Amino acid sequence: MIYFFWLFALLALIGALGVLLETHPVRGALYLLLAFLSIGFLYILAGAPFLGFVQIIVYAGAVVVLFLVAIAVMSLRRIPDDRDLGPRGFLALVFAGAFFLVMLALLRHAPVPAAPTPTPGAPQPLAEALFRQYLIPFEIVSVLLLVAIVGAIVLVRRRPGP
Amino acid sequence: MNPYLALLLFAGIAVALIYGLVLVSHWLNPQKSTNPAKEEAYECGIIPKGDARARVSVHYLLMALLFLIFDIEVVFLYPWAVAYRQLKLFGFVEMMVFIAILLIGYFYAWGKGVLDWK
Amino acid sequence: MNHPLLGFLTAAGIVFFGVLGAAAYLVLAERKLAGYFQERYGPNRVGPFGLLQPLADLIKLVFKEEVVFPQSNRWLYLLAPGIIAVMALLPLAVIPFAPHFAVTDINVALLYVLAAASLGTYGVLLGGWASNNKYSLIGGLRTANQMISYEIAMALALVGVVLMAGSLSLKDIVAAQQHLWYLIPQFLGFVVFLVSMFAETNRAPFDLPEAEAELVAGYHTEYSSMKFAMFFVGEYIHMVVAAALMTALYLGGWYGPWKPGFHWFALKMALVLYLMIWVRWTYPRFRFDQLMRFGWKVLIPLALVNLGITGLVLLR
Repeated sequence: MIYFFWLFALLALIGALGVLLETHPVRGALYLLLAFLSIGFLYILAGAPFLGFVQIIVYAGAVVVLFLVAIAVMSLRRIPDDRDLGPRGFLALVFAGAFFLVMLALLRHAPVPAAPTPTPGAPQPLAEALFRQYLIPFEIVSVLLLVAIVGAIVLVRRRPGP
Repeated sequence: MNPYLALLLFAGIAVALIYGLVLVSHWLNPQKSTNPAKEEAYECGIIPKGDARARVSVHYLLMALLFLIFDIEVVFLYPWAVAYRQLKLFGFVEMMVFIAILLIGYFYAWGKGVLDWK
Repeated sequence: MNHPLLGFLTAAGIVFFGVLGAAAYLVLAERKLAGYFQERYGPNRVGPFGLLQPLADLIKLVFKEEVVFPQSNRWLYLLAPGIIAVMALLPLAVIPFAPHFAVTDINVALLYVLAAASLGTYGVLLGGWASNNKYSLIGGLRTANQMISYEIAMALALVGVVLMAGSLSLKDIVAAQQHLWYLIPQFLGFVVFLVSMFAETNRAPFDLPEAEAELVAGYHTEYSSMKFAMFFVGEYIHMVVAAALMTALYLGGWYGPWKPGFHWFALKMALVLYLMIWVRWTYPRFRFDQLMRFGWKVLIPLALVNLGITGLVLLR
């Protein structure tokens, strides 16, 4: 199992790096797809197949499709390689490195919770938690989605000219 | 055998089978295309003009956005449906509120004519 | 370790070759039936009753001239055709064809099926985009839009089944139908699911991708040889899988009197497939705006109504 973890973790990293370094928009989107899929597999490996498949359905199956459609609609070509390697880029690198170290330190000292579910990945415990314990956040999600619908329509649609 | 390992293996076999067929056909293919006209995009015999990746209607993007949002809604429905017998009336009301709020967005999209393709 | 692996390989082998064979003969069945619907014979030259036609088709497709584009997106162009076929094959791993026969079973099987369905969109999107052809691009975008729109209707319709069975495992869902097929209590959901399956498999009356009058052949205009065959076979594999899903989810799976379970499963699948072929050769094609309006304004509300009614009925 640990080998699968390393495999998918490596694939996720390759995907993430590809998104950063690739200048071709469609190939960049496919690297993103690779990263999302690998993270989905990692969830499944961690004993949360429900979350894993949700990750694949929503991120790999919908978000990247959206990106590809956006690329086609805007007929995007190669993105100009204007990575800033001057002082600003250096500063960004320092901050990113510091952030990475902080995250690493946090992870090392964070208490590891006990394995959460006796039956790995069964949807019932998740549902119980989501629909009883976290009722209010769940309902707020729907408001968030409503805002997203309205926002998407307002932003994308222009009044058709006469 | 771990069912997820089985799924992974199954997917591996499917990929090998399908792309294997494509590869075999590629090796066995006796002909190589020689005519430069064959390598042009097919536009019913007329020589292609301009960029093939022309801009297309933004409506496609809007539909993809709506799809993403409703996809998230649907994903929430599944754990709810599984645990429905435990949640009972409480669960029913809860989900109806959730759907009702989203329906506002749905009818907003309907009213704005987003669901109509022109 | 050796023993379970062997069991898996046997099961997977049976499923793969069964389904690929079924898909090959489905092509013949469709051509034959189309012939009868149109008062002609259909293929009858290769072998008795044309039974060797699939083999002849395969040989022809393998040896057809391969046109590969010299353009930049060669890898994407080569990758795209297989995606639909692979994603169509994936759900087979969790379909229980008989009481004790399934490749594997997981407790979130239905989500796995939906995930595979949602990844199938990439085949048409990438194929359309990488072909460097205006028709392909528009065809790919249209098909992607169609697939994602009907995917929502499909997923919403399935929630009704999950509500009744209380499980996402296909085995449990079939087992829950021992006394009453979900076709009856979930009739509305079944209709929505059936219609969205026509759209998901890109078949008439929803075969907009190859609306040949306007888009030549949509996203697969520029594909030849085995790469075209993969798009084509992908459609038929998708049909077989759709029929299997419908059988397991709504038609009581392996349940039936007298005969062993597998026979019933196969018979029900054959009936669904016949229905799909019948519809294809009977109805004219939708226009794209009609198709999108139908999906969003009719199917999705119907699926939601079905969901509400099911929830209410289960409350008593």
